[in-house]
Amino acid sequence: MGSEHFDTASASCRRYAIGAMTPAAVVCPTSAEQLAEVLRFCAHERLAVVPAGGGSKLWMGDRPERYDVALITTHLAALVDYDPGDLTLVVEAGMRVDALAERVQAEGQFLPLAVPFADRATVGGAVASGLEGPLRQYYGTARDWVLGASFVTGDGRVAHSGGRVVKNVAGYDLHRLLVGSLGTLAVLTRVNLRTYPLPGQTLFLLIRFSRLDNAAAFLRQLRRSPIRFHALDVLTDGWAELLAESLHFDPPTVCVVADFRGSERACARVRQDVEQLASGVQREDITACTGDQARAATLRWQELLQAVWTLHPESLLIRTSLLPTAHSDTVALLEAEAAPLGFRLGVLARATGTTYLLFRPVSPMPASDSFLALWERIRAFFQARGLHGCRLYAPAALQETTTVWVGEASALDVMRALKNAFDPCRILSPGRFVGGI
Amino acid sequence: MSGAWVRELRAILGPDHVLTDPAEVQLYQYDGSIERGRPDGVVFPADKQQVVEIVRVANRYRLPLTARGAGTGLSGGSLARHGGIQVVFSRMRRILHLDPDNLLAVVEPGVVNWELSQAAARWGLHFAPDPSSQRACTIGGNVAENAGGPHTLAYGVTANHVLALEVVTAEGRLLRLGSTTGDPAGYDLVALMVGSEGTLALAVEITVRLTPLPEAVRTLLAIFDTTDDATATVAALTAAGITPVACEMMDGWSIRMVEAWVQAGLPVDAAALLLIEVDGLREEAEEKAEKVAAVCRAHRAREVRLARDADERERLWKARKNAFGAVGRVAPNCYVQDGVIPRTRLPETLRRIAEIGRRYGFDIGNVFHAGDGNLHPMIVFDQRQPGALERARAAADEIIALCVSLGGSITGEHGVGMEKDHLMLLLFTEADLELMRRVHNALDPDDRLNPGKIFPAGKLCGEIRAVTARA
Repeated sequence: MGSEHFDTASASCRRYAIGAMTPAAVVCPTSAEQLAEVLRFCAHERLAVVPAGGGSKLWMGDRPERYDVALITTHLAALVDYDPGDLTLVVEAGMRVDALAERVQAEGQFLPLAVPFADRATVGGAVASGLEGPLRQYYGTARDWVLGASFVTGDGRVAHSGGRVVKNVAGYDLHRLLVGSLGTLAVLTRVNLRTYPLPGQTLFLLIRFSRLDNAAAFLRQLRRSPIRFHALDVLTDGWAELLAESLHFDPPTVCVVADFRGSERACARVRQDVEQLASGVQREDITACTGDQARAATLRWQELLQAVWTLHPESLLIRTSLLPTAHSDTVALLEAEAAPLGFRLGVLARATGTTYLLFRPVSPMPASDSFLALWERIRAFFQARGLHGCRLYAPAALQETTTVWVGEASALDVMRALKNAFDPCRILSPGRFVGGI
Repeated sequence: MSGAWVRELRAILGPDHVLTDPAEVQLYQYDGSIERGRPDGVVFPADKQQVVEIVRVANRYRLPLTARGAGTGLSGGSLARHGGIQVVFSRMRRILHLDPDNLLAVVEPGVVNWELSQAAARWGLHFAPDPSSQRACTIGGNVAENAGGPHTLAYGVTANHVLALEVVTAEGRLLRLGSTTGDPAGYDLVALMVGSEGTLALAVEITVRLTPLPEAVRTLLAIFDTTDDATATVAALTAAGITPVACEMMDGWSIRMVEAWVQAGLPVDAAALLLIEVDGLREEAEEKAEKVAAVCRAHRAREVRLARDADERERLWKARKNAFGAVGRVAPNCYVQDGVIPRTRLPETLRRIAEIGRRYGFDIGNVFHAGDGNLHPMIVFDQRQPGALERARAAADEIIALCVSLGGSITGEHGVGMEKDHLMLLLFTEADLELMRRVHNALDPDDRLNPGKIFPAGKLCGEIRAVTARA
């Protein structure tokens, strides 16, 4: 590989540590073929490999069972092909998300790839992490706009699936299987993406409510309307402050936030429609803005998740998925579980049902074992109701001792069989995924 | 020998729901393609438990199992290539749950695509994928083939609208995959299943996303004197940042075929037309329609018509969706192809397809989804002439090889089925196919489900390279 792409210095290795686990070597291949060779070697030697791009999502998933090599893709960072006329591109997995976004914007186009820590995140990592953002309301998730991919399996085979055209049903869509697989099946080397025309002007709407159930019902009403919002979420305690602060809004208790893009006429029409719809429900007031203020608000909104790391370091963050009509009841029950343990719950929920639960201690000095007690309570709650979820953030002590996955995943045996098909020696991020995969 | 499994199936399903009489069974050897595949028996389960039982019988007697909806497929995907049991879902056609508040529906696989949209319409919703066969084809078939349609340009294909599945595995187990909100717990097995052509499991319950109907729709017909002007218009629309919900093209030959049958008022002297639809709020639809018309005129459209009302719009779409039928009326045989190219390569591709037609001596019409580069060349031939079918297939293979050489795909929405398994090596390496085979074997190790599909038979590799070399 050459010594400049292979590093065993402890400082380099610590950079890719996952909790208390530090790899013995950091490897930065410069081609897909070299990457494949590294994996063949690791498979032969049974060395556990954790693939990473910018290393901004290493907190996702469980601690690996073993961790010998950090396999870094940032030297595979070329934009291989970009055909703006076809609204498609092929990019190497190690290219930074913000760099690619800039390149695409220069052509008057747009990538709906908004992930936390976009200034470090790579395209491959963003896709493999499966994280979603508010723009899914309009653009869907990576599953919807990843057209194909090239990747290397755990036994070092270079393979690809899909293609670079927007419509394609040839063969199994293995690239879609890699979305959200946390590097446990294969290492992405190239990703083929769909791009979109830059949307029109931004209309940002914030509708304040005093009660979550009213807000959630209004959210469903907007989702069912013929207005195609770019983003549509409901926020409560904690999240609402994160959004309001720095935007000079009064922090609401509960609010529905909507992002619409279109012409001036369409924006005016939507503003009027939403005001009219809101006049029929139990709400407080509406803030609407356009132009720079609206753009700042929507950007802040897209970064809410990452703000938890800096602004709420003593908290527990869980991603789950709730049927929109069951949303406010489930949240009320969870609040009732958390309150006796000294925690309050803030919710960020997409209209589609994806929900981020943020538990924060009421007291500034919570008892040392209170997070563990809360976690156990939530696990039991999820299990009893057939819910599933994933812990995204927790104080270090909890992160070290318990699995992040909560709720029973169905079809675990099928997932294990697929893992075996991609990574027969079980060297890729062993133990990080659902069910200990 | 065949007696025992037939007796078992009759005991499970009742005698009326198992066909083995050759005269009856042979009706199931066709679909909408030029392929044939005859099952040994045809069964019609009434519920998922019966499907489980059928799979167990197939396993005991080592019989292949092939699922079928309405049989409208265009690649032989639902044909029993190696015989065995054909599972027809026509009795499992209930909409189990329609939930307008959560924008979803739970359906059995035999529900007809159009019927679901009709049922959802009273809530102002619809199921977005709309293949041309939507009045007959089933949601189960849409899931198997990852079906598209004209409006997938803006709304996406079937894969973008399936939230969860209940499947019967090859070993005869019921399994729930995905979630009603579309967030998987673990690997996205729904994404793997959709488009797997019935080779990984049998879908017995499907949860789909419903989409609000637009407030306003504007349909434009742009008429051109040259094909190049029409294809240049498609590229210019994309460049102008306009995303229509549909952008369909019909060449002059096809216009004349269709007009002779449908009488939709199409210009029979035109070289090409574009059927372009935009939608959204009233304001949005109007603005977009104006922009589209301006781009068409800037590219020498001789006329741009805006459909005045729903009736006229319906008539234009009827013309488009009946195009293949119209050609079938005048031609002894019509072979509809399905290839994809990057949208920027449309002009040269159409020229080269015409050239292939001339070389083989066939008329080739083009009615297709221009907006997403999904071509549907129709090769007109007469099967009664010796060698004509073989030459039609050879011409089709050349067209597909051309698509691949331009960076496209061998199929955009019809599937690989048994029509294009030999073309898979144009797109995929041996290593790619080996991995797909391993994925297949993880779910169906005995090759019980729809064998002989997607994967090329090894002996054909040489022929593939011959096709590539010609292209």
